[in-house]
Parts: sequence; C-alpha cells; structure tokens
Amino acid sequence: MPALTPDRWREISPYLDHALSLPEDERGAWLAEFRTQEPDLFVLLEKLLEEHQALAQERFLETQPSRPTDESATRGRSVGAYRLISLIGEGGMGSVWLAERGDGRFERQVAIKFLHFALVSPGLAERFKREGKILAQLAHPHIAELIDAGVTLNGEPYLVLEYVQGKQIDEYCDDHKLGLDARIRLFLEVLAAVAHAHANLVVHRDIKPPNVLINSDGKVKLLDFGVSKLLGDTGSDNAATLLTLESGAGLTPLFAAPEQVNGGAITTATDVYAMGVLLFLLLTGQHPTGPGRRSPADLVKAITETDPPKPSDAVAAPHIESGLNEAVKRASTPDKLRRQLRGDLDTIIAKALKKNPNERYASVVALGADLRHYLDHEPLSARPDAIAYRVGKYIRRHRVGVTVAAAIVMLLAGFVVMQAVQLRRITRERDRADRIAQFMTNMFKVADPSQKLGNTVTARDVLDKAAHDIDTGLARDPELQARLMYVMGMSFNNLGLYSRAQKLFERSAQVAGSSLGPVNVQTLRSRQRLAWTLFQQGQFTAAEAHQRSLVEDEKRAFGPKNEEVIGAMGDLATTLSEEGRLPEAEQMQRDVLDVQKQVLGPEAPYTLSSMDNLAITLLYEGRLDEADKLEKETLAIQRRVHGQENLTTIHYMMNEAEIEAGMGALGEAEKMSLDLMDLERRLIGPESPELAETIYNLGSIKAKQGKFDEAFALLNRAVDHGLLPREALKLGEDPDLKALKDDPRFAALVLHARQVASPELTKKSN
Amino acid sequence: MSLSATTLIHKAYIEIARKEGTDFVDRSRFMGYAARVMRGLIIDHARSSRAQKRGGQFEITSLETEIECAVDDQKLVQISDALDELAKAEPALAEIVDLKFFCGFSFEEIAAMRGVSERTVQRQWEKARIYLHRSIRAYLEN
Repeated sequence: MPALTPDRWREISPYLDHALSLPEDERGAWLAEFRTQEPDLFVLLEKLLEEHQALAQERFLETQPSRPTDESATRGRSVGAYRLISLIGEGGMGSVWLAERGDGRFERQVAIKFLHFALVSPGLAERFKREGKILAQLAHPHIAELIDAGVTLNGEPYLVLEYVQGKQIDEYCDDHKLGLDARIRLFLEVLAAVAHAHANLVVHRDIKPPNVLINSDGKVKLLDFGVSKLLGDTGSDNAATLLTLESGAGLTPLFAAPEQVNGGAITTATDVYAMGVLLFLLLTGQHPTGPGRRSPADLVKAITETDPPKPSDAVAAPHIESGLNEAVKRASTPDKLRRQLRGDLDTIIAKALKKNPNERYASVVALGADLRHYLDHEPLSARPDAIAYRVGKYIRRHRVGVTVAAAIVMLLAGFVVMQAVQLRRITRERDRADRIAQFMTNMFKVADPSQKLGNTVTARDVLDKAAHDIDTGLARDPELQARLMYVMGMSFNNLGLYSRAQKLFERSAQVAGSSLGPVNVQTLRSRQRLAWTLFQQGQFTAAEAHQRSLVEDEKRAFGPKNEEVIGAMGDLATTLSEEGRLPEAEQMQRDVLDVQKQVLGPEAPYTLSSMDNLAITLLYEGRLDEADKLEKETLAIQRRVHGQENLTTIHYMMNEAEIEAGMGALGEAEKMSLDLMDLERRLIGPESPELAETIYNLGSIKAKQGKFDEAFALLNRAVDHGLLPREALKLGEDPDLKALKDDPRFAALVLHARQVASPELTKKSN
Repeated sequence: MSLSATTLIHKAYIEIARKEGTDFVDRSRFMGYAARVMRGLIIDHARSSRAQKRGGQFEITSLETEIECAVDDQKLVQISDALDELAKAEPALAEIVDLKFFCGFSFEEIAAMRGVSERTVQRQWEKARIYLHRSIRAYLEN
C-alpha cells in the first residue's frame, strides 16, 4: 500500500471531508452515487474509510507521546546559594522547586520559583533584582516572605520564597466545616495582609485560592505578592498577551478582574475585585461566573459583561444536591445559608465585584470595614444595588401584565430612545432631535458618581432628575414634553412609585391638553394612565371619577366601539369591581368583552385580560363555578397562544388557583400551585413577590387540609422570600389561615411576618 | 514527572522569542507555530532518549508506559516525517495533529483558537489520522 502523494491527497480530500461529515445512515447512499460519478476515486475513498474504521479500533494517535522530562537534569542543581531538592509544582507561569541553602548556613528550606516568561525580555535582570528587593521588604505575618530574587547564569529569573506548607483557604474552610462568620473572620486576615501590601504600594494582581494558604497553625499565608507584576512588566509583551497565552494553553483567568482582561489600568481596585471573587467562593462554594468549564472567550465575556448573580441566589441554584453539600460544609442548611447571605453580604460582594473599578470599595480596608459591620450587626456603608430595585407592589388586576422592573435603567433608556426616535421620524425636525439628544445626555449624567455624593445612583435618582429636566428643559416643546412626561410616568409606574407617576401623568395630560387639544391621543392616554395609577394606589373613588369622564370624552370623540373607549371602560369596570359594585361591574365587563371579541378578536390579549377580570368579579360575587369555567377557558386560550412560560399565563394561573381554593378543590389548587412555583422560580426569580404569594397560598391550602407542619413551613418561607409587606402585615387576619389560629406557632409566625415587613423592627432582631 | 504542555509551550515561546522576536500578535498563529516547535522538542527528546536507552544512563519515566498502545519513539519519528508531508498538501490538518497529539489540546480548545466549530476540528483530525495511518503502514510495508 503506497503512501498518498500530496496531489492525490488534495484530490480526495474534499470527498473524504464530505463522507466524514455525513451521518452513518446517509453515507451509504451518497457513496453509491459517488461510485457512478467517480469510479476511480471511489475505490480509494472506500479504502480510506475502511482504514478509518481500523484505525479507530486500534486507537491510533489517541495516546499522547511521553514528553521530555527535565527534573532529573535539574535536581541537585545549584541556584544562587541554594540547592534544588525536588519539584513541588508547575503552573502556567513557571515551576516551583523545594530547595535548601547549599552552604549549610541555615537549615531552613525555601521554595524557588522559576519564571519562564521573564526570559523573553532582554536586559531585564537588573530590574528584576531591584523589584525583588522591594518585595523582599514586604514583611507581614500573613505574607509569605520573599527572601531573594535573582537570575541564573542561563538568564532564567527566579524568586526565593518562604516555603509554606498549608492548605488552600477554600479547602481548609470546607474541611473544618467553618460557618459563614468564621470564614469571614479568616477572610479578614487575608484582607489585612493585602492592605499591608497596598500601604507599601504593592498590588498582588493574582489573588486566588492556590495563593492563599492556611498553615498548620491555622494562620493565613498569602503567596506570590507582586510576582505577576514582575512578570507583567518584563517582556515587550503586556499582561494581555500573558493572559491570552495562558488561556490558550487551557488555563482560565477565573480570578481576573475586568480591567485585567481588557487591558485597563491595574490598581489596588484590581485586588479588591479578586478578593470579592474569593469571598464569593468561600461563602457560596461557587465562582461568580457560574459553574462549569467554558471557552476562554465565554469567560472573558462573563468577566467583562455579565453581572454576577447575588450570592444568595447562587446558593439557591437548581443543583439541589450540591446546594446541600455546600450548606453542610458551612455548618448550615440551604435555606439558612440563603437567608444568611441575603441582604448585607449580597450587597458587600456586589460592591466588590463591580465591573467599573471606581464603583468598587475604594480600598480593601473599606471592604474589611463593611464585613466587620456585618459581623457586628451594624449598618453598612455600601448601599444595595440600584439594579436590584424591586417593584413595591404587585397588582393582579391589570390591563396588561405588570412586569417586574429588572435592570430598570436599561429598560428606561431603551424606552426613551425608542420614543425619541419615533418622534424624530414623525417630525423630521432637526432641532427637536437635538433637544432629545441633549435631554438624554443630561438624564444619564446623574449616573456619573462625581455628580452625586455616595457611590450608587438608583434608577429612581435618574428618573427624578429626568422628570425635573422635562419640566424645565423642554418648556418650549410642549408636545415632546407631554410625551416624555408620559414615558417617565410609565417608568415610575413600573418601579411601583405611584405617586410620582401620578404627578407626571397629571402634568402630561395638562400640557398635552393645552397644547394639542383635549381629543389628542397623547392627552387621552395620559389621562387614562393617571386614572389607573390612582386605582393602583387604592384611590378607587378618584379613579372612578377620572375613568367615567374619560369614557364619556372618548365616546364623543371616537364613537362607542373604538379600542381606546373599550380599554377605558374595561378599566372603569375593574375599579367598580374592586369597589364592590359587582353587578354594575359585571355588566360593563360583559359589554366590553362583547365588543372586544368583535373588534379585537376572541384571542387578543386585551380580550383575554377582560375575561380574566370578569372571572375575578364572578369570584367576588361568590359564583365560583362560573368563575372557574371562565378562568379555565381564558387560561386554555392563553396557554395555546402564548405558551406556559409567559408572565401573563402565570398571572391567570394564580387567579385560577385562587378560584379553585375558594371552591374547596384543594387538590387541584395544590397541583396548580406546585406548577406555578416551578414557573415563577424559573421565569421571575426565587425572591419574587409572585413566588412568595404562591408559596403563601399553598401554605393556606395545607392549613385547610389540616397539614399544619407543612403549612407553617411554607408560610415562613413565603415571609422570608419576598412576600409583599402589605400581605405580611395582614397575615394574622387572613381568614384562609383561621385553622391555624389555635396553634401556638401561629403567634410566632405573625410576629415574624411583621418584623420582616417592617424594617424598623428587624434591624437588630437577627 | 513529565512536563506539562503549558510549560513546553512556554519553552517553545522562549525559543521563538530568542530567534525571531516577540511580535506574535495573532495567538492562533503563535499556537500553530508553537505546536510545531513542540513537536520538534518531543521528537528531539525521542531521538535522544533512544540514545540514552542504549547508553543506559537514565531511567526514562513516562506517564504512558503502562498503556499498551503507547507510541514508541521510532513511530514518533515516522509520524513526524509523515506530518511534514501532510503539511505540504493540507497544512491545517498537520497543525491540528501538532496541537492535539503533540501538545494535548482538546478539540474544544483548538476550535476556540481557530474560530471554527468543534465538529470541524474533529473531522479534520479524523482526516489527518487517515492520512498518517496510511503513511505509517506504507513505511512499515516497505
């Protein structure tokens, strides 16, 4: 059998490619056809494919060749005053040897680290020695001493370090099953060492568990201080090259800060970040970029772009078994662990892990101070993340779903830009476009920390400034002013800040009314939203008055079967229903529904929304069978059209579960609640008010079933995981829980709910 | 203890840096080059270890000695020669063998390096194996 010539190979190569890319069962047919077209090449191709089978069986080239070893060549070698004893380890940067002094002056053993990369740069020897001397003066009980630095005769730089025998900090903590507080105290020792180095103007740059050891006396020893700086500054290549090389070789910059990945300035803030990662790891057992191996590109993206999860959410991740393991290692349970992390520790770690170095703790000392505040139950200096701002109130009666306000600033920016672009298209007015741009710029200026005391700017701050700017800055363009006030009002509304939203809708309606006229779309929309905001605040009488006059005005302007009119009537009917004027509400809802089915169609979102609203009115009226039938019908269409994994579907399911529970169909309600819990946890989040409410409802079902243990467990869980304060405060009077009232645990539950719901009472109680 | 691929790549890098300067901006180009240098190191080692075996000076330790089908030094040299031939016809395939077989990179890593899918890398690897397998057999039969 001859070897293939390059020419022959080039000829067969594309066909081989194709054959190999085909699935086994399609290959035969293709080969048969190939045989008729290229009988000559077919013979070769068939042979090669046979050979492929054979070589796969003999595992050809699957075992790697042995690599050169040079330990034997190096052992016993002298380096400076030291003699190498044995290879301790190899890393991406070099190899580490155990060594002892060759002249017998000291018994002490040392570690000698050879730095492969440093060889690259010519003329580095001098600077390397000089830097080494500076590092050598960095004496601290928790920092492994740098004894000497030098360059071998071959030009290979090396460091002589204190030889530390110990365990990595994370393994040590796990082995000793240290609880969170003990872990934090140990971490504070590491922080003290880092702070000492920072005070001496040395940045570590490479803090990670293998560099943080706990020796046999239980003392922290930080290794490799400043080593990566020596490396980074050496060759003509910069640190970014080192990093890419490292990742290319299969290592991953797991502890690198964003500025290390994208070539920004390395400062003490870089160490603050790495300490944040270390703390995250120690407290949750996970890395902030999540579990599993990833490609270097994905990792870089995760480090520079993706916000890390909250530690409390990370331990609630779906891997229940590993969650249990991590909790056990922390002398805790998954639930308890999550509770311990939630709040202060979430806030502290989020601040240390900010992408922007300026937003992190200003120093490791400041990070340490907040951790001490936590341990001492004192208020933190860090404020909770603006992004974590939550909707304060959950409304199930809605025109369209009230969505949870996540990443609200982004959403808002997108919203305003979209509106502005639309406006620009409509008007084609250059100066107006400029004004929009100006406005946008000013609006987000407040996100610049220098504009405001304190480090975090909340979405609300941005909105407040924007609202003010609209009033003053856009006075000469009332149309745009009204439009943007409306947009701002919607944003406040999404944040649950109803009274601010109300003011903006009022102003918007006023401005639009006087500049564009009373029957303008903008005027009417602002009025409609104003009324709905009043409804959301429970001001039903005022809402009703607004809605009635709006319905009249719109009817006059657009005729009775107009979409806007129907929407306004639907809102009015919902208000009437909440006011307890049920027959009137029901009649109006049926009228609205009839028109919507004709005008919008029987499966349109607003039509379904009206059906849902009517079902709730029927529930209030005690006509449970009808309510159940209608809600089931609504839900069936909603599921078919929009699927199960949809926020509105979830809302309808919640209402259906309530109706079922009201009917005494406890089994069905229980099943629906369990489905809901799964959906809500996945789609909305483990701390969402929706999930808490479903857990609460399941608790009340268990209470009715006489399963008190389960009921109390669920109710406590709901209280601890985001149950809305207004519900938590009224828990004691909930008729659905009356079966529990004589149980001694009930009083404790009511008290606990009150403490969680009312912040003044909680602070010192845990 | 045998040296890791990383360390060897570093050694290779140093070799290159000494000879040609360090302006390897394109990482995948560098990796391709480094992998060839790495093969050179391994083949040198194979050649010299054969010499040492004859001289009986060193005991060669290999992680793979207990594995039956470990590639012997003789065969390594043949593979290397065949690879040089393959590089003339389809250099991309030869590079994959350097990266995978000689350096120990995974398909995933190679795919990331080259910006292609893992499937593509795997298919190229299979093709290269077919080529090399045939070359080795042709050599043995002659």
